[in-house]
Amino acid sequence: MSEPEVRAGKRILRSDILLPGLLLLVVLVVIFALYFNFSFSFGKDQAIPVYQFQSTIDSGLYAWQQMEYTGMAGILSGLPVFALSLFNLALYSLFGIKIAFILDATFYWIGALGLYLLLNELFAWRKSKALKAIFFMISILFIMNFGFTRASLTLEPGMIFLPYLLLFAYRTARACNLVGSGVPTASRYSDASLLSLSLAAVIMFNLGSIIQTTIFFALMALAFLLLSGGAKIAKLKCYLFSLVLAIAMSTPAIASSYLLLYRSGQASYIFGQASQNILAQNSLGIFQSIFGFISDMVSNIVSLAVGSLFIIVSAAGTYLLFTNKNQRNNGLKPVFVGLWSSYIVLIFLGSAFNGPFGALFSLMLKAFNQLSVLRYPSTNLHYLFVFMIFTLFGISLALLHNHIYDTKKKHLRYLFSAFCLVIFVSYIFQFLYVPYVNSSSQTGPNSLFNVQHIPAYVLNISNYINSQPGNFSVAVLPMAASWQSTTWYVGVNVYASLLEHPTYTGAWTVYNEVFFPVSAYEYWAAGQELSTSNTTSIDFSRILGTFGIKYIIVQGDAVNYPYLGVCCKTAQFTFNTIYRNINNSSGMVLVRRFNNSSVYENLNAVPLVYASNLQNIGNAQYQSIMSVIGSKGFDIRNISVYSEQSIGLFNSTRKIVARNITGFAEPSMSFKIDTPTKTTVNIRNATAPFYLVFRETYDPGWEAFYANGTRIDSAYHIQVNGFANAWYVNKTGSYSITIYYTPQTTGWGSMLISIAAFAAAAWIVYLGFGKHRAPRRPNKRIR
Amino acid sequence: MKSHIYNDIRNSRTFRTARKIVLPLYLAILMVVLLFLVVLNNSELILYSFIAFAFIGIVLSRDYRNAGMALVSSTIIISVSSIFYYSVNATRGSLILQNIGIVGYYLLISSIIALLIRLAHDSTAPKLGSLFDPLRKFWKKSNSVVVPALGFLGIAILLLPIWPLGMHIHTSLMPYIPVIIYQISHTYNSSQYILNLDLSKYPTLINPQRSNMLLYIDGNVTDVSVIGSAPKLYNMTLLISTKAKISNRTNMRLYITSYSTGFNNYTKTIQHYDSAASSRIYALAGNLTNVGKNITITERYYGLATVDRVSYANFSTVPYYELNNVCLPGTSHHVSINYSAISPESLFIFRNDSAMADTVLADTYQKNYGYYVGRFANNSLAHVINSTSGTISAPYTGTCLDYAFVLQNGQTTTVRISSEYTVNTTMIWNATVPAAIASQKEYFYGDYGFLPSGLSYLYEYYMGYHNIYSSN
Repeated sequence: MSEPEVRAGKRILRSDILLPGLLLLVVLVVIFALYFNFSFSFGKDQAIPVYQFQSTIDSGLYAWQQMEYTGMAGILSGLPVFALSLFNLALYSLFGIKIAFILDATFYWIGALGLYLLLNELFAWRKSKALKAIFFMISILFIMNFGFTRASLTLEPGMIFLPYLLLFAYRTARACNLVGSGVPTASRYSDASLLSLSLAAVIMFNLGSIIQTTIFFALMALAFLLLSGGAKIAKLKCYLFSLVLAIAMSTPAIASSYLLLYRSGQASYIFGQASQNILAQNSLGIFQSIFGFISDMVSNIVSLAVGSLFIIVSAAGTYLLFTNKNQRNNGLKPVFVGLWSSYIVLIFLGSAFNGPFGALFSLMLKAFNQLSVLRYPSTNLHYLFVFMIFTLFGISLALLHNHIYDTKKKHLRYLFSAFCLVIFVSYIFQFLYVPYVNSSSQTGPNSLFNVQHIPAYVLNISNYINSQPGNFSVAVLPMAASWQSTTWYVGVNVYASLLEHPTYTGAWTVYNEVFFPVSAYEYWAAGQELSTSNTTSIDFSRILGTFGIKYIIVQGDAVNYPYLGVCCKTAQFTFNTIYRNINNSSGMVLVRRFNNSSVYENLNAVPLVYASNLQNIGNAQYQSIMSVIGSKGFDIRNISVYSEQSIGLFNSTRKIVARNITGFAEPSMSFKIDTPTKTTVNIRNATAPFYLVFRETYDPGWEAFYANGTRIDSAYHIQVNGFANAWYVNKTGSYSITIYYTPQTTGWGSMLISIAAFAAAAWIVYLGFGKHRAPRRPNKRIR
Repeated sequence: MKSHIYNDIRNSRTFRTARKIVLPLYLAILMVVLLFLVVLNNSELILYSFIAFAFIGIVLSRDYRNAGMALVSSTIIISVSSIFYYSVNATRGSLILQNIGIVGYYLLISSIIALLIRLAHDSTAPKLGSLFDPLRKFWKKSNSVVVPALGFLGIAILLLPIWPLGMHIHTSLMPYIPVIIYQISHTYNSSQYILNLDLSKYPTLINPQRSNMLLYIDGNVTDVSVIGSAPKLYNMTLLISTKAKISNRTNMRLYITSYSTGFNNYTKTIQHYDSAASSRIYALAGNLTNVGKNITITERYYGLATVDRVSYANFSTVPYYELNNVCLPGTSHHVSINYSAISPESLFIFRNDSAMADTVLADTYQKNYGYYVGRFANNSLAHVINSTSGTISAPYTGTCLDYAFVLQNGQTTTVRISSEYTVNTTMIWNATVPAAIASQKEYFYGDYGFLPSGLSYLYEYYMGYHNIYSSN
């Protein structure tokens, strides 16, 4: 790069990126600090901390999620998610901040900056401070929309990269126009690489909506390809290049999604479940999508009116754009058409948003069940709409601004400024005015606008349990996890986030429980019975102990959710019943009382890995297995229950008929959890065969290997206790066995591809950055 | 000669005037017609009407201005209907507004189609532009013949009797339970009758709210109310209000539908009624007639249910039994298990979970049918031993009842389980009826008329009522 080019590049970096980025960060901090009274930044409560801290570290790297009940196969997100997990880790190490909110806030900032850069790029031909101010205002509103919505960004953070997706698609389209103009290839492909990085970021962070995002990208690309001038073939090459690179970067996510769906043959089941959910959602509320509300929570005229303003202004801007004879804005036309087209398609697919238009999709589902891959619940893809509306709106405001200023009528300019101010104020106002959580939907005083601090006793309970050694699980009673309410907290059970152990919260989930382990259902059933009926015949300590539940937290501040039974098939509980049932279980001991909550220890909790004998109870259903386990006096530590009927989604063909071992003698055993997908077990002085029980959810991907690498035949890998893995080991002496989740190998391989693709993309971006930014100047040589 | 006359017509002043207004007129009429068609919320009609909007998109593509105006109008329609939808409490109004919203979306699609076509047409790439040469020709011709023709077609559609007047029932085809009247006591000059019926033969057909039945007396639908808050099928008391004189020659039929017939107030439950002033009808529920296809019923029962389950136990290896259970919600469980098989086998039910667990845990894997029969018999509440068929009925406490079949050899056993329970919750269960009843299309037909009668149809359609008045 030449000296002027470097300086030009640095200047642009400073004024167009760093300065607005810094300003937006300041705005973000001020908004959230003022609004939430600094409580967000310092470890106190926030809306929905969804995942445990540990799982955010593991989730990017490991194909098995240990923290979900007795574990389940997870989707590998790849390197970027892991990098973000490191960010979380750094926050915790340096500041003791253990929540995901800081990461969320960072995402908001990234997205807002992206929107600002996009809007500036689209109007790069007109340098105007007024325009920059408008775009800055739009970015602030964008931050607010994300920051004030209930759905946490940890659900679908990939959407925050959408402005970059559009930005680099636009730049790629322009760069690929410059065929044969002397611009080096690197600059054209550097934008395409940036595009691929954005697309990969959207895919990897947004796994629930890969297909919808792909539709969005495809429509964008189509608009740019077909509707703008220039060399179509060159553009096509650029887009294909970016698509291939993005897919390569996203290999872990795609590979593990495929494994998850098709390895166990559950694809049709998933589609069936998904289509059922679609039919239940049918509400009108286009502007709910703008504000990211769940459909039953907003019925406020103010919000709708503000949203209407947005969309009508966007329409007016489109009108201006297309009817203006000025050729300067021709590059925007494909952008608009692409955005509106995507918008319509996504509303159509999102039947949760707008019936009956959106509900037409549910009609098509009846005929073509496979279309259910395209459906999404209302909370998940509202970001797409947010992005589209804000982009459309921002461009439209700029077009209106240009139109008015070109007429040179001062009174119109003042009117326009006043109009922008009204929009800005009313948008902010509707956040303050609308109670976020409709009081009829949930009990308690909680709403996003009444952020509650976590009581000290909750933190004390969490700290106490986290300080206990060993590998165990924790159960919460009465069952919470968003369908019960405490007097102070509404949302996913806070213990699920604060505890560093798998926490059984026992909610009845709707469509996505197809991925949940059997233990989730069983805990729901057992917890129901524990909470609602005086049962004397079942020993709950043994049933819970089978899942490794060592501690039970009885939340003394829980109240019954008034809509139970209607939505969630859960009956009303009473504390008397809970305490009576717990006290009747011989293995439950009260450990401590924390304010109005109690912690019980379950003496019958089994370890993660142990050796046991086995009882074959025939071709029994799941409830029978649990009845046997729950019978008083049953030794769950030394006997595992086996049914010839397989439970769950994996069938059990070509398996041994497991039987009780006569002369069973338990060997000495110790184990070490190396990673979430690998555990090493040391067996000493085994004198007889035994069943090696591994208390994670049964999955054919788990395999056991001897130290010399010999695999224990899969015929000896059976399911016991209705959910767990067990291997029949017929070897005496002392040796070690490694239990390994084999899809992890695929995960590492795909991670390598991802890293290589990412490195290639970064390298091309670097090659083209300086050259692309500043125009080439002819070398002036004095001959 | 013919073309000469044609040109004269085309050049006439009337025709030239008509040419200018026919496009806007056509569009306006088309919008109104489609609006009314769309508000039916008949989703198939909505789908078909989209074709018209796609065509509007093509028409609008003549001019960016038209497309832009359409876009702005569509967003206004969507916005206004959304805002009013949330402010209007009346169900009728809000439902209509919801359906107007869809017109906004369709118009939005039309405008985007128009912009797409226009942009592609203006593309500087010569190959792409030439694709639209036929379209240019169409534009030139459109004002002359096609659009006026479409306009007249739109008016004709407006005037034809295409407005649905509601659904009517083919009572001769629909399944019904004939009510056989024996006698009527205390005949007063009252229009109220009390009818007691035993409908326990039809547990899978009648929903828990007892609201999916229609009572027809001599071919006319009749107002009825259910007496009591939790009517049992075997003892259902209905309060009939009718001016008709009922005798033992009256033709009374209970039609089963797949949805609530709230219009007839069937779901209204009466706690107190003037029994002295009402006549009592002694009647029997006859056999269901006009039943359609026979299919397996999906289990979602509340109250009484019957499940047919075929079980196959492979008992070539130990143990010689199949362990199973029936789990029911609520309380007051009563289960009846009936089985049949080719070879003799034994059925046992256990007093409770502990009894079952004790039995299976003590298994020593002896290959001896007699051993298992003896051991299970000791721990069971009731049993059928060594028979090709049998039935055990028992109440049980707890959530699940465990039972086991002990067999000598692997064979197919047909098991039929009937159960009854009471649930004291506020849960609302959706009852399903067999497809024989649920496939309403063959039993209903639509009647059509002119436009003005449509709104009452819309009201009734959305209120969940069906205007099932007449019979044929």
